Amino acid sequence: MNKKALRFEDMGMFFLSFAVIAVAIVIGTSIFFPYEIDIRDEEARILGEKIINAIIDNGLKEEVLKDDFNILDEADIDRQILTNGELYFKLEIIKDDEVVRSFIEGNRDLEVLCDINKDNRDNPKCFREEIVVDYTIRIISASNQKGKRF
Amino acid sequence: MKNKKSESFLIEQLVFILLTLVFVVAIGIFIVRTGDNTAFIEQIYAKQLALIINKAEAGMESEIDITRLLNLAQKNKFNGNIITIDNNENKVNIKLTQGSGYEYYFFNDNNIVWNVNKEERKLILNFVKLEDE
Repeated sequence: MNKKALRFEDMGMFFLSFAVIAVAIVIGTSIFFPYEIDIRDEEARILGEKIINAIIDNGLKEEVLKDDFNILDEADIDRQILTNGELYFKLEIIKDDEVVRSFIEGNRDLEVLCDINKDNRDNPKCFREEIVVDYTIRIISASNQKGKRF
Repeated sequence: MKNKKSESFLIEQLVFILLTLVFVVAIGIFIVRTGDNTAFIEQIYAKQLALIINKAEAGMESEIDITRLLNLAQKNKFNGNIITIDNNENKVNIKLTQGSGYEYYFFNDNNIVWNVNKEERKLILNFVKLEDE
């Protein structure tokens, strides 16, 4: 057996081995414990579903088509929070290929960004749904909220 | 001459053993700290709570187990409010150390009546429609 003790001249290789092991462990733990949890998909879905639930009750609620219908009050959604630029929704009620009523709230840029470069992790997440109940109801909702440390 | 050579050899081996020990301890500390990452847990709970709040409807009551949060706060010797739900600004704050915490906004407009029950290790949430108050 060829046993060889480490000498000071081996120091470079010694530190290189440590560096390789350390990098492997850091990469491994960062995969196992990813730092950022992304809930934007789920948030966009919940927002979209809340909007849909607010206008449907055994078909489209009659009052939805009236001018004074307040969708945010009906869906229990805070108006102020929609102005922070990180949330968006667009609801269209369509009859015979014509939009008879629409509701748009939040940052409109998010809808455009959802369709551009979907692989970009910084782009917002969108939820889209189309339901047919007498009318065709089309909704798109989006979230780009990432949270922050304070 | 031979003694001097042996002494030098011994010192070299001692240095390598010490360096290895320092490396192993450093890696161990890194793994332990990553494993109970307080900042990460703050983020997880803030986001989970925001999702629960967003999904909830008026009249609902939710009980959430917060044992992990209480244990971490205790470990970090933090006695302040670990959870704050701000109905005016619509945000959830989770804080488990004296330093910074994590905040996340929710869009549910219901008033949230909340209480941290430290004995039962639960966060209790009641959702009340604003006009019902």
